[in-house]
Amino acid sequence: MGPETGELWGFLIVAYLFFAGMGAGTLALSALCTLLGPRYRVVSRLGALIAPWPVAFGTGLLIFDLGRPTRFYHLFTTLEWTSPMSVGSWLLSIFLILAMVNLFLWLPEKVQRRVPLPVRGSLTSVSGWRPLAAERAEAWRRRLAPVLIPIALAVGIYTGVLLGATPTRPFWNTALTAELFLFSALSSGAALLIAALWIAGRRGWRPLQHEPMMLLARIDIALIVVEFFLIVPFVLHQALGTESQFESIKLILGGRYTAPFWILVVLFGLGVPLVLEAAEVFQQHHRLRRFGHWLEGYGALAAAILVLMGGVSLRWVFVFAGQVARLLPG
Amino acid sequence: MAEKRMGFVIIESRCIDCRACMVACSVENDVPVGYHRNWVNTEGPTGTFPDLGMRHKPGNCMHCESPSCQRVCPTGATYTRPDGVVLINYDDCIGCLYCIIACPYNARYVNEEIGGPDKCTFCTQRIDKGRAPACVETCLGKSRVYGDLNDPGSEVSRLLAENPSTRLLVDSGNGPQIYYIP
Repeated sequence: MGPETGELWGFLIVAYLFFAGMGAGTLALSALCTLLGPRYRVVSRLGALIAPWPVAFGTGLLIFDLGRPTRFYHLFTTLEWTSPMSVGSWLLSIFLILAMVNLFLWLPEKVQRRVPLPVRGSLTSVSGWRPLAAERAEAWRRRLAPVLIPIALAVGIYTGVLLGATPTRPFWNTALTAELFLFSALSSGAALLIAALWIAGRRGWRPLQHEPMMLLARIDIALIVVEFFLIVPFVLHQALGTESQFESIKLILGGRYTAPFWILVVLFGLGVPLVLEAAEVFQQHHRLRRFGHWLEGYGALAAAILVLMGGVSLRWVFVFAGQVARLLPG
Repeated sequence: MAEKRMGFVIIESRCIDCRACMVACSVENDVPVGYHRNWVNTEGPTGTFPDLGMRHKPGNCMHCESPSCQRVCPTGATYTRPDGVVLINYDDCIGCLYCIIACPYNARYVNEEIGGPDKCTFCTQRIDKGRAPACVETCLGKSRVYGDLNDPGSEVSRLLAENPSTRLLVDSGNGPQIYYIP
């Protein structure tokens, strides 16, 4: 075996995986809310306006991280089915295009009219486009939503497959990696939307709407519970698997990444926000005012921030621990 | 007659850990200082005094049958020649380093000069002219042997027919094409 190669993928990749996942999760939940109807349109709109940016930013980081960044376009001169990175870069492109179209559809009509004339003109000549009257825009949003959900889920899964589909790296090489990254991405999306709703409510842009907030909190509770049930078999299977797997999981069972994983990811990234969100929903449900408005307001924001920090930590632990662990000889 | 399938046979008992193969490779292929495309691993000492033993396992890119580096390459820059030699086309390489992460043998390293991965090329500039790779030519114990594994008459095929051999990390699924004869 040759000399250790060290950690080739660093914090830029961690950030990229986090932002891409968070944007994908945001768009998936925003599109879901569109399908659920006008009750949750504040979530649909906020999500549609926010979602493309983290993904675009993350993709920028990814290109910046390349050793030969000026050649990044070679990704799009081919499609290599067996390379998660190749499939992923196509998925990201499709996602970004559709997310930008979706963003446009969610702009208020008066903002749509402000699109520069040359752009408007060419759009009109190509597709007969004109600023959309409210009903027409709404119809197109509802048509686009069922397409956005699968593409967003695909981006969320791909960020995990990128790491998981490497038999060489026992820490990553389990089907649960992709699932964990997907559900963490959706949870990050929910958290971003909760934070956005909260800020919009505080700043008086929109009155804080409890119904959408509670929907997001309920969804996030379900996602966090699913993540727990992914982490348990992940750790068990690695610990009870091959010697390479067992050695790799030691990194989070006593090894270098034990504290970051169990404290940052599991305790503060999943456990505490779960309790905060459950308290929030419980209080709302039973119309309790025992905790006052503090929990109702800041509890949601605190939970959202913790979920996002947990999402970063999860990717940090995975990216770094995964590159330390290797197949054992023999 | 099947296509050519180039590979190495390494006779471990003949390796004396002189590392001339590493020097020869670096000189032949202009490998940046601090890196090597090949290596010599040492196992042992084993046994109890006075019956002690040490084993040396030289290695380099295994030019795998189903190379994981090639599978994960997003641009198709890593490719396999018809004779089984795995190479990198630097016109297409974007420097994502996925291949280095996917290689179970640590056979690749980052060449800072090109901002991308680099590895053993089987000295194609030599074997295409019928000369042995630099590491093979210089090996003074004749531990390193190269040749066409699909040609039953080649030295590598003859050695493998007559001796038991092992390969490294077969569980990786890569199908490495370096055969070790203890």
